[in-house]
Amino acid sequence: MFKKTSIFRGVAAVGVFALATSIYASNLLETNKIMVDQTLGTKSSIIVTDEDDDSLFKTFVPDKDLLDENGKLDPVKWDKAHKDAAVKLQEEGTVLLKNDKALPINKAAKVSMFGTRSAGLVNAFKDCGFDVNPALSEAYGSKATTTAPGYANNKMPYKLFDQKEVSKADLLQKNPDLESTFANYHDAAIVVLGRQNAEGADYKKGADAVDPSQEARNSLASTKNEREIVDWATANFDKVIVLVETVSQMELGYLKDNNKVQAILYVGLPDNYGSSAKGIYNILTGAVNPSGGLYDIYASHSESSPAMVNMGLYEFSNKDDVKLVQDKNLFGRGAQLSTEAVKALIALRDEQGTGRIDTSSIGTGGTDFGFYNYLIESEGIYVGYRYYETRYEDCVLNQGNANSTKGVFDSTANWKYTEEVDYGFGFGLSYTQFEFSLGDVTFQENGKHEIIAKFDVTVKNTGNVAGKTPIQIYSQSPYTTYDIENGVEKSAIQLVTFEKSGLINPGESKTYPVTVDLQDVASYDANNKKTYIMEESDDYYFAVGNGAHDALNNVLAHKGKKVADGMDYDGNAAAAKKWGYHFGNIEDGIDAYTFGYSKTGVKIENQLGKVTWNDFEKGKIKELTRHDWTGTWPVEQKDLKAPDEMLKLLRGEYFDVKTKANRDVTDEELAKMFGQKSDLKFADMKLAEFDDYRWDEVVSSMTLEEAIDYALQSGRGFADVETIGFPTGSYAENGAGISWLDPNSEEKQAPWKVAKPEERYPGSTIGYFNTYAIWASSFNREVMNEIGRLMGNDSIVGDKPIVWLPGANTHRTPYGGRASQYFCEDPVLTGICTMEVAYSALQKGGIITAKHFAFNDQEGGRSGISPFMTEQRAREIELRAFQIPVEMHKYDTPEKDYAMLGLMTSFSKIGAVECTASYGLMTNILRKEWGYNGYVVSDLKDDLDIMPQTLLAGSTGYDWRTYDVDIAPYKDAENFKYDKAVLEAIKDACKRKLWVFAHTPLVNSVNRSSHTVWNMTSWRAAYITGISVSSVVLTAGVVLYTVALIVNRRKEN
Amino acid sequence: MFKNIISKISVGGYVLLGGALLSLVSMIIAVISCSPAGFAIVQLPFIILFSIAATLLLIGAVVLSALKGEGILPTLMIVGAIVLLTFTLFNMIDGKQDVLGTVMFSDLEKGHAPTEFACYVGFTSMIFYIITIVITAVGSFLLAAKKTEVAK
Repeated sequence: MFKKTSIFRGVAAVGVFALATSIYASNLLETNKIMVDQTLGTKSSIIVTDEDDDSLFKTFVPDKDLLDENGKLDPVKWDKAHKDAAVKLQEEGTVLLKNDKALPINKAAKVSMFGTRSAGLVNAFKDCGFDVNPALSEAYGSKATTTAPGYANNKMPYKLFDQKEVSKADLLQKNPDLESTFANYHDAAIVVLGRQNAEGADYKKGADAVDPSQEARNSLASTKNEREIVDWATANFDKVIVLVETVSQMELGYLKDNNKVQAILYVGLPDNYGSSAKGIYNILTGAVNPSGGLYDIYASHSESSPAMVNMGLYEFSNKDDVKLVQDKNLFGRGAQLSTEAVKALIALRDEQGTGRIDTSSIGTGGTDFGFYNYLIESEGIYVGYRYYETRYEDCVLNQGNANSTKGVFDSTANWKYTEEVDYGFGFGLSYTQFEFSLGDVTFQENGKHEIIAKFDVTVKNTGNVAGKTPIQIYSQSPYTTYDIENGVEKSAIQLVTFEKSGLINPGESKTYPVTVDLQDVASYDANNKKTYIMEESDDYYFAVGNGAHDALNNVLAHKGKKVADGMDYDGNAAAAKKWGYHFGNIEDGIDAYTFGYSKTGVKIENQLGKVTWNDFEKGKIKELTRHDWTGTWPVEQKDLKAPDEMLKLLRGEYFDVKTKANRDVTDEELAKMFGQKSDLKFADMKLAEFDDYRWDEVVSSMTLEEAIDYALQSGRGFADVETIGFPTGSYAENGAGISWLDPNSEEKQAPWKVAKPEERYPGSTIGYFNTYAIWASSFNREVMNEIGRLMGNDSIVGDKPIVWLPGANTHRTPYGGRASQYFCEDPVLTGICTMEVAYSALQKGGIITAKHFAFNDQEGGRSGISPFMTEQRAREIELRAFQIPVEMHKYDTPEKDYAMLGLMTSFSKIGAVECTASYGLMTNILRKEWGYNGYVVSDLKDDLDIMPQTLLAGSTGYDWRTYDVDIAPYKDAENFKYDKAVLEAIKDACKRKLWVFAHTPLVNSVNRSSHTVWNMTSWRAAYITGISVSSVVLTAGVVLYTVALIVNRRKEN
Repeated sequence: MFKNIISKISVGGYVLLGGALLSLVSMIIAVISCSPAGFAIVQLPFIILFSIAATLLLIGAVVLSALKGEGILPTLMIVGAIVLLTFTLFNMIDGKQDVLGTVMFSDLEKGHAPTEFACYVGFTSMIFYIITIVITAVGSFLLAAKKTEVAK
C-alpha cells in the first residue's frame, strides 16, 4: 500500500488546492453575501422573533386577487395579473402614426414578418392567431427561434447600437426561394424596424458613426438594408405595416412619405413574455382601437434640435488643473476598487492637498469617465417639442427671426415645421376621429400660494367605431417685453396635465373635468425676481389637441391665424380657451409672490448657485432665446477653459469638514450623540410619523459605527442594526418591472408565501412590461396605477421594500443612450407617470425610487460631467419631473401628506458641483421647497471620496455595491467624528432611512423581540463542506505520504 | 550533467515541467490582458512573482528528483507550487472581477474593445492557470524521475 508515495503526494496536492479554493470561495462569498443573496435568492441572515405575537404580517398584505383560497400567493394569478397589465399597457401606449386604410387586419391573417426585430414578436403573434410565414422567419435565423419560454431573449437580443438589418441578399442566400413563399402569406407584410438603447454610451452624431456601406446620414437615419427590406416588402405586398421598435427617435420620413407603406405603429421595446405582442396584435386586428400619443417629438432630421449642437464629449482645455487624482495603474478604467487602490489614491490626494478621486467610473469604462467633461445646454428650455413648436409659432407670427435658414436641416429654404418634423409630441391616430372643445375656465384659490384652474373638456367621437383618446391639456403663456428684458423664456405650448377618456361610441360625446395647478404654468425668472412668476395678462391659453402641435394650432386658430399665415393646417378655435391672470400680489405687472413660495410655504429662490457658464465668465455663452432664433442659435463650445473659481468646485472644495486638528465636537459630546441607552426598537416605530419625537431616541441609541454604516450603506442591501433590531433591508432594481421575487423566504413564513417559487423563466431579471416610452405614450394614469399596485404587491411577496425605478430624467436629445430608462422629453408627463406608479406602490409599502436626480442629460461622460444650464431650464424641465412625484400633491389629504419616498442621485454635476453635494439641490430644493423626507441613494460608487460633504448636502447613502472591506478607508469613523454638522447629518440620514423602512413591508416580519441571526444557506453549506472534505483529503494525503516515506525508508535500510 | 538529468526524468517529471511551462504562458497572457491603458491590476506583481516562483519550484522539484531521488523536498516544492498557482488564480479573479462583470455578466462594457480585450484575455489566462494547476496536480501523482535510474 505504501509503495507509491507519489500517489499520496498527489492526494495532498489535490487536498491543498481544494482547501485553498474553498477558503477563498468562503471569503469571496461572505464578503459579498448581500450580492450573493440577491443573485441566488438566499438569505444569509434571517430575522428571528423570540416572542411570537399576532402583530406579524398584518401591516401590509398582498391583494386578494393574487392569493389562492388558503391565503397563499397563487403563482398563476400573480403571473396573469402582471401579464394582463402588460397587455393593457401596450394597448394603451401603442401609437398609430399612419394608417392609409391598411388597418385593422384579419385576426387570422396570413402575414410575412420582415426585420431582425420581428424575431421577438413572431412566436407571440402565432399564439395570438396570425399565420406567420415560417420560411421568412427562419431565414432571419436563430434570433427568431432562440426565445425563452416567453418570446424574446432576456438579454438584449441585438448588438448594442447596431442599426444594421439583415440584408435582402443575406436572406435570399439562406433561402433562394423565399419570394415564392410570400404568395401564401400575403394578407400583409409586417416590417419591424428599430434601435436599441443601453446605459453607458450614447449614439454618436453624424454619418461617421455608421458603417459607410449602409449609406445613412446618422445613427438614427434609415440604413440601406432597412430601406431595401421596406422596398422588398412594398414590391411584393399590397399591404405593408411597419412597427417601430425604439425609444431613440428614429428618422421616419422615408416611411411617412412612402405611399406604399400604408401603416406605421410605434410599439416601444416589447417585453419578454409576449404581452406587448398580444397588445400589438389586438390593435392590428382592431380588437382594440389605438389610443396612444407619441412620447417624444420625431424630427425629420434627428440632429436638428438646438440641443444637438452641444451634445457629445467636450473636455476642459485645462483639465489637468482639475487635479483628478488618478493613477491608471491603480485606478484606471476597468480597474477594480481595491483597498490598496483606495488607500493609495487617498494618500496621493493628501499629497496633492486637493482634487477628486473618481470612483464611479471604476469598472464601467466606455464613455463614463466625465470629470473633465462639460456640457453647455445653451438651448435653455427649448428641448424636444418646446423648440419645434415655439419656432413654428414664431414663424407663423413672423417674430423672433424664426423664419430664417439658421437651424435648417431638412427644409428646402427657410425653416419650415412640416419639413423639419415627421411626428409631433403627443400625436397619435385612431381608427376613429375625435373632436375636442373646451369649457369656460374657473379658478380656485387655495390659500395664498395655490391656484387651480378648472374647466371641462368635451370629446366627441365623430368616426364610425368606438375608441379612446388622450386628453392632453396644454398651456401657453404670453411672451412679453419683461421676459425679453429679463431672459425669461416661454415655450409656445407646454403640457400641463392629461387624462384618458373612457371608451366613446360613434357619435357620442363625453365631458371630462380637468384641473390644472398654475404652478405648472408659472415661469421661473432666474435673473430678476429669482423665483417663479406669473405676469398680469389676458393672453394666457389652455388648449387641447391631438398632441402639442395640434394644441398649438388650436391656440393660433383662437388668435385668428390660418394656413394663409403660414400654418400647416387650420386649427380648431373651440379647442382653445383664452384666460387672464389677475391674482396674487402683482407689482409692476408681475406676481412673484403666489408661486414664489412652495407648497410647504418656503420661499423659492435661486438655489443652484453658479449654474451657467456665464455665471463664471460673463457673456461667454449666448443662451438661445425665442426673441432672436437666428442671432442666438447655439454654437458648439469646444475646449472651454475652466476659470479658477470653477476649478475649485470641480476639485470638490465645497464644505470645510472638520478634522482631528480643528474638531468642533468633544469626546464627551460625541458620547452623548450615540450609544445612548434606550428601550425603543425599530419595531416600535412601525408607521410612525416623520416628526415623531421617538426617532431621536432610536437613532441616538445606535453606536457611532452602526450609524455610519447605516447612514452610508444603501446599495446591495442596507446595513442591519443590532442595537435597535433593524434587519437588513434589500431592494430590487429593474428597468421596467419586477420579475419573480423569491417568495421562498427562509424567514418566518408569511401566510402568503408559497413553498417554492415556480421555475418560470430562468435568468430573467426584467421584462414584464414594455419600456417607459410606452408608459408615457399611454397617457393613462390607471395603467400606471395598476403597475404600481403590482409593484407594491411584489414588494410584499418578494421581501423587497425598495424598488429602484423608474427613471424620471427627461430626454434632452434623440441620441441619449439611456433614453429607454426614461419616459419622455416632457417633465409633466414624466412626473405624473412617476407619481401614479409611486402612489399605488406606496399603498402596499413599496418604495418607488426614481432616478437619477438629476440632470442625466447624456451618458457620454456621465460620471462627473458638468452640465451648465439656466436655473429656469433646470427647474422647469429637469426638476419638475421629480417635483411632481415628490410633492404628490394630487393625493394629499388633510390627514396625510403623500410623497414618493425614494430617490437615486445621478452621476452628474449641476454646474461644477456634484448633485450629491449640492446643498441647494439636495436640501433647499428637495427637502425644504418640496418637503421631501425620504432617503436619497447615490448611483453606483459615485462620490465615495466626498462622503462627509454629500451627507452635509443632504444625501443619505451610497450604492457602493462592492467589497465592504474596500470601502473601509472611506467610511472610517475618523473621517466623520470630528465635525458636529457631519455627525448630525449622519443621524438625520439614519432617521430618514429608518422612517422610510418603517412604512414598508419590512415591518411585517419584526416585533420587539426581533433580531438578525446568521443563517445556513446552500452556498455556505457548499463551502463548509468543501473546507471540511479538502481538509480531510489534505490531512490524509500528508499523513499517508509521511507514513509511506517512513515505511519505504525502513525497507530501504 | 544536463543530459544525465534529462535521461532520468520520467513521464511524471515531464508533466510537471509542462506545468512549469504553462505557468509561464499563463503569466504572459495575464500580463498581456493588463496591457490596455487603464486596465492594469494591482495584483499583477504578485501574479508575476507567484508564477515565476511556481515555475522554479516545479523545475527544481523535477531536477532534484532526478538527481537525488524522490523525497520530502521535491514533494514540498510541488505542493508549494500548487499553492502558489492557486493564489495566482485567485489574484487574477480578484483583479479581473470588474471587467468580467461588465463584459460577461452585464452589457455595460460590451462592444468596448479595450475592456473586452482585458476581460477575454484575462479570462483565457485564468483558464490556463486552471489547466496548469490540474496538470501539476496530475503530475504530483506520478514519480518525477525514473525509478530504475534513481536506484542506480
